[in-house]
Amino acid sequence: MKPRTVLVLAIVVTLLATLTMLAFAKPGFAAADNVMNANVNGGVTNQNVDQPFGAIKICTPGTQQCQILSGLLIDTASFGLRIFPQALTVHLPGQMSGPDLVSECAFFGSFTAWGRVATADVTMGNEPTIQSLPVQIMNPNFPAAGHRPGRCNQTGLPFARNPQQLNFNGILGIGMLQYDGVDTLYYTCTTTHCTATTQPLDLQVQNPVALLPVDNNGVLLKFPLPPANGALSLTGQLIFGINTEPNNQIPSSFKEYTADANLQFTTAFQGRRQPGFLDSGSNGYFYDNPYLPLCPGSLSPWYCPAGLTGQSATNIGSDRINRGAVNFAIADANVLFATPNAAFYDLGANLGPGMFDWGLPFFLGRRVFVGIDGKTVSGVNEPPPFWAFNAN
Amino acid sequence: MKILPFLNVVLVGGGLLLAGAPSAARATLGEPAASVAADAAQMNATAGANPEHPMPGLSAQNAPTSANFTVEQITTPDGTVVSEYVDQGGTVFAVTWHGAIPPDVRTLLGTYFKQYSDAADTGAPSPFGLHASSVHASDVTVQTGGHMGFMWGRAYLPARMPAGVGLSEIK
Repeated sequence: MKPRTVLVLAIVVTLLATLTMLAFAKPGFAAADNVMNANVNGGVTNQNVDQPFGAIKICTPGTQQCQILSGLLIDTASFGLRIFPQALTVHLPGQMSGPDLVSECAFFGSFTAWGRVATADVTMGNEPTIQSLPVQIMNPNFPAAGHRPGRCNQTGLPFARNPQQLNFNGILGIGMLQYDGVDTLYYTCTTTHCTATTQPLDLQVQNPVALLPVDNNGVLLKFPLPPANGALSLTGQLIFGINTEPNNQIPSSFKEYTADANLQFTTAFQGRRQPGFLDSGSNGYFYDNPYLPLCPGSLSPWYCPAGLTGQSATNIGSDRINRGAVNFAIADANVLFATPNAAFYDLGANLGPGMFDWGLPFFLGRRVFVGIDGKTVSGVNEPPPFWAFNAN
Repeated sequence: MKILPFLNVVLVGGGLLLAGAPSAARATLGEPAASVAADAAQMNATAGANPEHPMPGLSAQNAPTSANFTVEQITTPDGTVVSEYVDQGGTVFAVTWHGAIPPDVRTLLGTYFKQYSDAADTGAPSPFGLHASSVHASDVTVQTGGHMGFMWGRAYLPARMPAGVGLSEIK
């Protein structure tokens, strides 16, 4: 090789290396790597509304055997990744406890998730891959039909069985905690019998956001606002981290509402106070307004007021420092469901006075930050867990 | 219309369970108030409301009061508070609960549990999403909600609701 060729090669290599470094620098020239698309659509059966879905890359740990797994319901009211085995094409090894498989019972308001714990390498957006993330594989017949432990069988709600039954391939729980162990039940199972166990923290099913190297203190969910009669679909964004990148800064006009040990703030409505929470995993505003008409017949207890009806509630942070009113609207669900649309900002139901559930309609047209308990967010006065959002 | 909200409203076993028919198991819903103690024993629960994380000042935390009913509260070993609503005739007509881990709903509903669980299992998604359900079986209505870390639920017998009691009082 001639000296001149060597010199040219060296220059080219140096240039390439510099360009590569520039491309990966932060804040950088490349597109933001902390973003996942969040699509509101009818779901895997195209039969539901107001549910936001995301996709991840999921791999057998330590290998290049991977798939893109879409149809994951993005849920701010749970923590951890839970997947139906029917949606998986890659093998995810089970987490073992000696010779036994670890399994879990997780409770949701409309079903119970039972099944083994497995590990997976997971990539969200262009964030660095999370290696060997503990996830739940939802299967009511694990370890064999009829062998679920009794305590998992006592709710009366159905078990999560398959994507067609529940309208998603899995749940991407990105709520306020990193670990799910306080609120679920863990077991070790032989092929026929499961025994209650205490799962070490680092082996529990975990909110994957909390394991990102930098953008790990929470998320920002943002969606455009659809028309009053809804939209066929909406494309929003799930952005990782809070005040860690140019695209996830909390505006100074936003208030932080802290959550208590139950992961709730207080919502005051019509002079009554109840626990409140922000819930992208549910489809409506669920709260008790005894004066708002319910839909007739089988559509009850959805609300069916005559025309778009304004409502107002006040949220109070658990530390009582911040409070703020939220104005929202409820439309006639009968009219909304008669459209082909799947994204509504004005859908609500009366499911009783126990809680004020701010479901996905609240998130449409808003930017909502969810701060994870135990993490640090720079530039805010109150530590997580908190929610921050534009009021109206 | 794409949504299928009616699927969770399936009537099951109509006519099989006539009024007053529940057998004298330890069941609570539709049973005499004395069955509250049996429930507590079955669930290793203690008397009164001793939640894991109290919510001072919140109405949902305190036992509701009314001239039309009394409320007896027990707390499960998980720290979940169960409230049993007893009418003036001494019959439990509603049950509510809140806490991180749901209580033994099978015991609380007694003979009504099967019609509830049959009606709840429609094979279709809850029209309300992950964290909410409303099931109207032939004799019992059960609504559940909450989020990971805090579950709320109520079950009541529409035909046994005392006169003058609104559903907003069952919380």
